[in-house]
Amino acid sequence: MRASSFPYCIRLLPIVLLLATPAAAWADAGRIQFPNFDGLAAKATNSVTLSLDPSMLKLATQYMGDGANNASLQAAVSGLKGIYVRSFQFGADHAYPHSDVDEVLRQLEGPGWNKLVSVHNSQRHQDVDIYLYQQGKRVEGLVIVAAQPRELTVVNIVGSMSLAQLSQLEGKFGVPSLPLPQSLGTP
Amino acid sequence: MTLRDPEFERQLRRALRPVDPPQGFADRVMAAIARGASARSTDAPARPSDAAIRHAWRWRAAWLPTAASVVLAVSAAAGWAWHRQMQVHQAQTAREQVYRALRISSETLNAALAVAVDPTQPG
Repeated sequence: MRASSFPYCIRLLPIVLLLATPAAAWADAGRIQFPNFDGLAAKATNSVTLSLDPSMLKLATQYMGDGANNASLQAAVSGLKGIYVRSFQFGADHAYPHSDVDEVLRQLEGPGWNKLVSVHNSQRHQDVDIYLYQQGKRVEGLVIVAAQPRELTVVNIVGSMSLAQLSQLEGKFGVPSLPLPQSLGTP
Repeated sequence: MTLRDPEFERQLRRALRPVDPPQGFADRVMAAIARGASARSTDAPARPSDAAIRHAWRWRAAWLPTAASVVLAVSAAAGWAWHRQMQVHQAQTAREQVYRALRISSETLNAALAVAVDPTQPG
């Protein structure tokens, strides 16, 4: 079969796929793959699973009224590509396998990820890690892993949202006050 | 029984003999016919004229598209309103999820940074 007998779009398909692959990888920059937490959710006394992709974030900013609160939320969310939250609370200590935490942390050893805060308190068995994914000077992702004996929370914010922008939401929509130094929040 | 029976034949002839109507019978019949005709002419609906039929059709032809347009416009408006209501509801739901996600993120950050700044504080 001669190549010219293929439709034009099919002949272009390999080129499109070649171009699309790095684009897809770039689109997911700053996003981590969560382990399968289905088992944890079943064991937890309280669990929160939130996956807000770009379309959900865009939808959230639609039909908002005017006002300072809405403006700050719109500004905070406008640069985001996703917010993914997994939070579990348990009735007993160490009810979750630490391998789940390790699986998340392993992904944060890759290029582009920088450890911002790492607190390990062996007495209280409390581990908190905050990582930033940076492309040049731009922050494109944030991961918070907070592991306590009865609580595990993993937050992944994808996109260009600085901690300063997050701090602007203090006191609004139930967001508590943050003890953030301003220099920390600058992307 | 045959026609040769003389008694039967006599009875038949007597029954079929011509009898003159009573006096004024024809006049009464004609008067009754006239009365019936006039009664029918007043009770029956008048057949509409061709002009009236044409007028009715023109009226109907003028109003049908208008009525159809009104029905379509109302249906479209109702559909749009329903669609918008659904979108507003979905946006509200998404917004609440964003608030919740930001609240959890902020609380976790808060706890993490509090411990980072002062490790003696409870997380």
